[in-house]
Amino acid sequence: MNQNVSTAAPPKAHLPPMPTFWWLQTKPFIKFMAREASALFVAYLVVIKLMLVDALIRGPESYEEFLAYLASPTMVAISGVGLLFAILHTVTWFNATPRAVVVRMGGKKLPEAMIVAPNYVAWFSISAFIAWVVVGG
Amino acid sequence: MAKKSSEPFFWGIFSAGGVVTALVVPVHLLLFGLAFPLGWIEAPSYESLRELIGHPITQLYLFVLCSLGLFHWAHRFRHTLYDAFQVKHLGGLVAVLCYGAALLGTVVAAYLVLSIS
Repeated sequence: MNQNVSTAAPPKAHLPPMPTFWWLQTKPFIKFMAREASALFVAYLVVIKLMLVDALIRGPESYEEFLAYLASPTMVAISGVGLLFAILHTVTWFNATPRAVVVRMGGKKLPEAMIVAPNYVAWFSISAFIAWVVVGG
Repeated sequence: MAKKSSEPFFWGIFSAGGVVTALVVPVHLLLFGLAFPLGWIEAPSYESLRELIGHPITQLYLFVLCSLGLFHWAHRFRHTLYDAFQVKHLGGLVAVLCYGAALLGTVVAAYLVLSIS
């Protein structure tokens, strides 16, 4: 009989409790949380879009009121911070694509830059198109 | 194990939402959050925007953006709550609240888009 083999204590019992703000301890953790927080501003944009559509349905006065609301210092501040987080989301998402997509050409793996770069081309083209449709269309 | 089977489904929607929002959210926030309010660019007239959202393609676009965006948020927010704030013991409740909010937002988006005449 081997007395040294213990089945009594599951590994779980040795896990120390994590502090609530563990993610403030190192830079990679903070970056991780910042990326996660970007989703809040995605939701913020959706809410703004729905409010805009609602205002447009109600009529010209509601639209002007909503534009004035968006121009309040609080909303401008939230949107400014939101834009930074949205860009963080875009960049981290694009740069992660080589983890999800592996393209092989002639038996060789396509370099990561070749997979990431088209994302940026698409981003700039689509952004320019949307701006053109909204502002000038 | 059967309990975990919904994860790939929500991850798929999260991923699709991640792509769509990565491509279009920054320009929308730049225009409607900063450029128009701060007067960098003159905001479009009521008539032109009203005409734009009257187009079926715009309506489809708005619905897809809003719905996928909300489910993207729901999935990420849910996992943030699990990982960062360690509320895994409330897992079921958190999931219902997050995806429920996204579903509610999707219904609101559908209602609004369909009421554009």
